[in-house]
Amino acid sequence: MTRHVAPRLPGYAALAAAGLLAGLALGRVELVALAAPFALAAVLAPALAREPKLRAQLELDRERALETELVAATVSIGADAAECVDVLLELPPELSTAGTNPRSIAVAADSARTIELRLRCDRWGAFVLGPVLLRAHDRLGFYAWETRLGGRAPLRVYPSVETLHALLPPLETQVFVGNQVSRTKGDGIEFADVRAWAPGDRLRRINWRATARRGELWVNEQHPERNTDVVLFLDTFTDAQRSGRGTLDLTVRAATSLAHGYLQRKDRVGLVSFGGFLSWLLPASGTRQLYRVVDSLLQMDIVLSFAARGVDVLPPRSLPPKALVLALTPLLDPRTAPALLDLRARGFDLVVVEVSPVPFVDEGESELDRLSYRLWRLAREAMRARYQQAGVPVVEWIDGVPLNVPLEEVSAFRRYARPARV
Amino acid sequence: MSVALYGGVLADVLAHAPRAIPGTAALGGVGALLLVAALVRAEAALVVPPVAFLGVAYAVALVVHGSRVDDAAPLVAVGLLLSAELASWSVDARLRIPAERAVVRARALALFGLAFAAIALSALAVALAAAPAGSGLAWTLLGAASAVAVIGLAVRLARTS
Repeated sequence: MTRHVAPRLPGYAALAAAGLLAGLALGRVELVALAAPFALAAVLAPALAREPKLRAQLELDRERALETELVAATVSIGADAAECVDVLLELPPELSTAGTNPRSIAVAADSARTIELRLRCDRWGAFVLGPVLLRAHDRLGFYAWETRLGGRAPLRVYPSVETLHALLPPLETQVFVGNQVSRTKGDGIEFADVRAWAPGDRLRRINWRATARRGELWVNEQHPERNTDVVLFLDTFTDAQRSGRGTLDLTVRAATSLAHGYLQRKDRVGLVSFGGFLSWLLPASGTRQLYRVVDSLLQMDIVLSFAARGVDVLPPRSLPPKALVLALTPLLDPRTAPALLDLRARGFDLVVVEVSPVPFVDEGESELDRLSYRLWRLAREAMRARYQQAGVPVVEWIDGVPLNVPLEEVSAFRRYARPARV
Repeated sequence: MSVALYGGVLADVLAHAPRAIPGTAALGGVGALLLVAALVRAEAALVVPPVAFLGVAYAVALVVHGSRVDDAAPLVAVGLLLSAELASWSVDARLRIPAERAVVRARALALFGLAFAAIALSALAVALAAAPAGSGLAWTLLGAASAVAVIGLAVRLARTS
């Protein structure tokens, strides 16, 4: 517990000393009378000051919440003697409260006071609230004691999920049952083709109309429903941001929506964070994987690093064969492009969603600034062309535009383009 | 309220010694400006200097006025203390956080108690001076010892603050 003395208290003592000395020197009792109140304050305040015995407890009504939701934080404060206590629950910028924080309360002896704060989750993130900052002070504010009590309470705020009308289908499916209609033929629901009967074909698969027309047994073929592996490849080398929003924020929101969409379809979703700090999640399916992915996304941060690394440092299982690799990148760091093109060269079905940093960058005032800006835009165009030459669809996603739009652009690109063999 | 009290004490000081008005008015005026600056800028460290300025002005007025004991000295003393405390409260209220009614009431009661004790002590000092208790080296030494004790207290407080 840290003790603070008000700056006026030594001043009062100095005034009292000066008054007494002046009274003695001038032989005037009025100056002694003038000094007496200040001497009294200077003597009484330290004599009556005693370190308070405080107790505090911080509790949240839940540990997980979605953006824009409200979380109730309860702070209980107790004291052995009557105290005036200032209470502050320090909040990260992503959380706000409409309640009074900080506030000064009176705590009676051997009792507890409870303060309820409604916290609004303004932005996603993993936070640890507390301990509560308490400052007890004497009645006249001559002495104050500060301490932090109440423990810590974790709070995870998940980004809101955007509804995706159509997800990007991968070029190839996996072998397990899922919701994605495979391009191959086998047991399924979707009609694919007819072919001549072969021993072993089941009677129910015979297409009687084709059989009657051709005079021999013909059977239907179907496309089986299979699952897919999707790897969300996040470029976390650099972030362009302005007033709380930035490319990393958009990347995390998009990755959450995509993970939610694909996992609902029974697909397996993995995660690779490719940046100053490299991390990955092996592909898996189910609700637990969704929490794993989102929890990993909440930890995403830009870590400055000059290390150049390729995809070969990733464990092979994090990038399963035939997986759809959805890269979310602002195309700002030159180290991402070689890694992604390496993936393309290894035969992965790669899609690049460019999380556009343009809305977060000012063109500048001077002619030189504007020239630099135009050169920067040209360099970005050149980077896009590099991907397109390798047959990789690159779509730009701008803040404020629904994620469905770039995904639909990729689908349209694939309708008219064939994957290149590189 | 703090400025009003300060103004009241300043008016009393000015009325006390009409011959020393230029000097006392200048000192009191500087103090008043400092007090206003302390309140406007919410500077807690600027609360004490105005009191010192007015105290010096009062001492000048006493010296100029003559040898008669000023019976209003306890009121001047408490006026100065209350002015400083109210200014400090005002600065705290601007810097600090919203306080409950009970906290405000507790501080007001404490301030009232301090003012009451201060006026009693101050009046006692004036009354003792008027009492025929004698004079001499012992009283002077006692006064000097108390002054030294208060200086020691001031130094100790300044170190711990």
